[in-house]
Amino acid sequence: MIQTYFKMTWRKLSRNKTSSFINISGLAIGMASFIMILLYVQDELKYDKFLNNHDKIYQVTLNGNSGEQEFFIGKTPASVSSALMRNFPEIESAVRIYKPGDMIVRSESSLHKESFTESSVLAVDSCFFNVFPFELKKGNAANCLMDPGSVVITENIADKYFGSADPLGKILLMDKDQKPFKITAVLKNLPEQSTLRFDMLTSTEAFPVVKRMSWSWVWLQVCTYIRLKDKTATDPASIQKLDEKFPAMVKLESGPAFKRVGQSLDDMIKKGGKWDLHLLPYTKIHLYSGEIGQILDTVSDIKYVYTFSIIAFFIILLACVNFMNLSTAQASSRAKEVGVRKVLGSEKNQLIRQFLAEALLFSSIAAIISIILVIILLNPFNSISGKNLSPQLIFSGEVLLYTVGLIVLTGFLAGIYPAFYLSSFQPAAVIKGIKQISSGLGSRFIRNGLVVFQFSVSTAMIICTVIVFKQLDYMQTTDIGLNKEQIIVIKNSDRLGNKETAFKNLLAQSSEIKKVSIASGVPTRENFGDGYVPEVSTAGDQLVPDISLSSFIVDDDFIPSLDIKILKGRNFSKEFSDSGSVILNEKAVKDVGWKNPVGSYMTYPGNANQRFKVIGVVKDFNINSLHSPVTPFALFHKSSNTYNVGSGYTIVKCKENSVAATIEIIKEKWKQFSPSLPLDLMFLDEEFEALYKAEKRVSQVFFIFTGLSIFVACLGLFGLAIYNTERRTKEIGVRKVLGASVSRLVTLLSGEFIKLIAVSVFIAFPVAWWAMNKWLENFAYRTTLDWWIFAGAAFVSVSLTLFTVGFHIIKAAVTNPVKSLRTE
Amino acid sequence: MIELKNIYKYVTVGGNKTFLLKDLNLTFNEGEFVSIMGPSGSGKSTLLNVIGMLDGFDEGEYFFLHESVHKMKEKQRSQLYKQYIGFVFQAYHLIDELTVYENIETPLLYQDYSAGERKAMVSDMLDRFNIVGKKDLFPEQLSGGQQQLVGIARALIAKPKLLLADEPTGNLNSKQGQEIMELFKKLNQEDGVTIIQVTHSEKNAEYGSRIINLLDGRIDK
Repeated sequence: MIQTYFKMTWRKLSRNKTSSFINISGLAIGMASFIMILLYVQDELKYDKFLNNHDKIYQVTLNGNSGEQEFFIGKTPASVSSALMRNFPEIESAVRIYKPGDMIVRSESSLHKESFTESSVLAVDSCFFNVFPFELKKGNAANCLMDPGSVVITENIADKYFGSADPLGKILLMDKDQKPFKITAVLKNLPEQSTLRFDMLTSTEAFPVVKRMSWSWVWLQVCTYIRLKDKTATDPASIQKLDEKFPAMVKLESGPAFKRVGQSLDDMIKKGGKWDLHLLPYTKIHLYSGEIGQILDTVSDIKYVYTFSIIAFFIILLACVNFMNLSTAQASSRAKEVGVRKVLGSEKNQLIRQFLAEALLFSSIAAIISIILVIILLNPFNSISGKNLSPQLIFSGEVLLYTVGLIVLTGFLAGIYPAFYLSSFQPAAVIKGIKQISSGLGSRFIRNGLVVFQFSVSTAMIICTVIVFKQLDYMQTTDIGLNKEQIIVIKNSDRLGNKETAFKNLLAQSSEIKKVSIASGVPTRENFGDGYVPEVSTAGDQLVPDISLSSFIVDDDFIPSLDIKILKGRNFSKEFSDSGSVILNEKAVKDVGWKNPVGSYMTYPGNANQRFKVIGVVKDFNINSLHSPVTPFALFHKSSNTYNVGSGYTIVKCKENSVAATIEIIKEKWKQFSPSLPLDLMFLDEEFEALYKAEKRVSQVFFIFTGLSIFVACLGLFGLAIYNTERRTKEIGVRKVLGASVSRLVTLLSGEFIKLIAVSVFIAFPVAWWAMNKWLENFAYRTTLDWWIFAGAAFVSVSLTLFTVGFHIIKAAVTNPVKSLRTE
Repeated sequence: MIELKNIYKYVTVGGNKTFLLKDLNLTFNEGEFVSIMGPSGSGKSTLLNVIGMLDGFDEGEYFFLHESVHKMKEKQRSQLYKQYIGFVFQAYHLIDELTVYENIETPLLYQDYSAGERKAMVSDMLDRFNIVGKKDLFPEQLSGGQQQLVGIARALIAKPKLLLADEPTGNLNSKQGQEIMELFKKLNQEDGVTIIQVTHSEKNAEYGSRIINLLDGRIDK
């Protein structure tokens, strides 16, 4: 019997090419989208699970508040790991990770004598592999990091420096002082789904700053991870208990450290501050820690996983709706078959089975096509989504299971309504030739409802896509208080040591270059923060007791290089001694509360209450992504000598259209100054753009699936238009005979669709508005939800509809009525 | 074989009953070949559908092989006609997507015949109607007469006792029509199939052993 159903379906399929094409291509696109999103979501959910003890690893996070603002970060004081080990036997081991920043690396015995800049070097405690059992290719995990002079590298790095030679035991010269490190182990390349990403591991002991700061409870430059003992890790209650014991431990351990920096922990807590440690499961970092500052690579967000899952569900639903719609629309032509079969002795459930088998066959064919589509489209999808999904994943058990499930589900979803609807036809009525069955009010209502649903989804997705793109554009073009164009940044220019200033002066002489500045950091990178106490300068000043400011150390040319606007006072200048000067941004001034900021003073408790005089106020400028608001900011002069944060960045502002020429100049001069050191360039505008990498990816993925869902919806509408006009052929003929003009007929016929679209537009508006408001809450700087976006989306929907249904309607309207009436 | 007692069928439009069948009392014996005649709208097809159990009626009693059809549930009725009744239509009503062979086989699929049995029965039928060469063609590839031949073969495949034909020659030319009528006559006389046909044509009606004339839903005496 099944065989017969399939045979019959196959013939039906090749007979009704248009509707088969619409059904199958719609379903196939829906399924392909679903499978791709499934692979994406699976990949996201797989993060870090490759570690065999992933459920026992926790990151220690800090929820602190020392001044006016609460923060929640993934960094901890360097002393936390030893304190935890001392106090809690539940913890098997604790490892600190310190990120020393870019390193110059050269191999003594390598293929080439060239040195490279390595930016993924982590300094870790020797128990690293006990907490994170990454797979080693060579070497011994237990002791490879025991010696401070050891380094563990990945396969990629081994290839880069040593080619096919055995790297074990070889020496790498690292950092400015070319300190020798001996390779003690080689790691297999890290799986894609590792949150922790690095090329080299060295020992924390190789970085004296970590040891020097190990007393401190406020130096927040390391991440701490712990591995719980098996018993604790498997019991949520004991993890909870452990977390509850942390405050007492912090009190006990941090006392002297807080006293040393001037404010005891008790005083801080009394003032409403806090310094709480918490545990975050390692496997949750990737998707659930967006709000926590991390030293790890960009993490993802569970919200996007949900969003994409919903989109996948909707696209499948849209395709099923097409199937249902077309099947019921075709009911009149199938009514005869149902009637005949009933007369020949078929029972209702046999017919239901037949229609379901038919739908299942359609969905199976669609599934096969969709798998081919996924294989073809996976590469472009990877480059857009930033994933590295391989086609083999499709044939993994889980995905296949989902695919089979999808076939059954879509088959049933798409087939169940037509099955019950068609099988309920009365044979006598059908045989007698009453064919008005499909225009029954009930089925038409359902069909129209389905079309409204499809276009509500499509219109809402159009609106969302436009707003997402608009927000991206807004973030990249809005005035951030500085000019990021034509700015080339030379990273690690302090490698030149005391020749750095001479290098800067030489560059400044070039006619292609407008300005050159040396700074400790640049916007998007390496600002440092500290707390200050402002002094009353004008009678009646209502000032905050203290303020934390983010800062750069800069020279005279920083502000002009970046076109930052000075609102009051002056820039740093050679004509003054600026070692005790500070330039603040508007936000800092506003937060402090000075009436007359210029000439006011603030003291720095961190350095024996050193006084800084405010010499200027600049317009607010953003150093981070527009997710976060402007931070209160201070610029100190390089002559101040208060901080030792280096001068790692040379900022080169070149003339318009001379970026390429400027790069050549920089390369040439750099070689002149230092033939052996690598030159690291970056472009400020690209750095800013990179801040929105995640949003950009999401927007592109969104864009594609919006396009697909619209396409699927239009396919359905197209099919429906064919049947609708067919159904009304006689009516059109009669109307024409009675004198209706072609244009009136077109209006009449398209009006029906336009009405449906109008309804869906009004369903889509509030939904899209709500969703986008929610999304925009992620940003401190938001684009507006303009009315024209909504109007535009409505216009697009209506135009698409007219375009889709227009051909058939016009064709029907211009047909000679004699023809259509004769067939009746 | 069939006994209809005081059969009424009506539709109510705007409070008025319009009678489709009015107080019909008819008996059909096994082995009969009956022709039902009458003008358009006289209720011929409705009567045939009622006899064929495709359509219900509002009042009266209907006995088929001494079983009271009017008391049966839908499922029992369908079981009954599946077993005993074959239908032939004016518009043939072959299934377009099935070949000649498959069309003839269809009724067997809804009864419990094994694949082997079905094959034997269909082959036999193809032989008997001389359409072996056409078994893999689709209905649209056949002439009207040939299609009706397939329709009759399909109606007979499950060996029904009763053949109901609703203007079987209505869409055919006179020569094809005549062939079909000859075939009916042969089936009736040689195979003992009871036949009730609805027809417009006096000539075709003459093939039957008895003619019933209907007018406005009742027997026109």
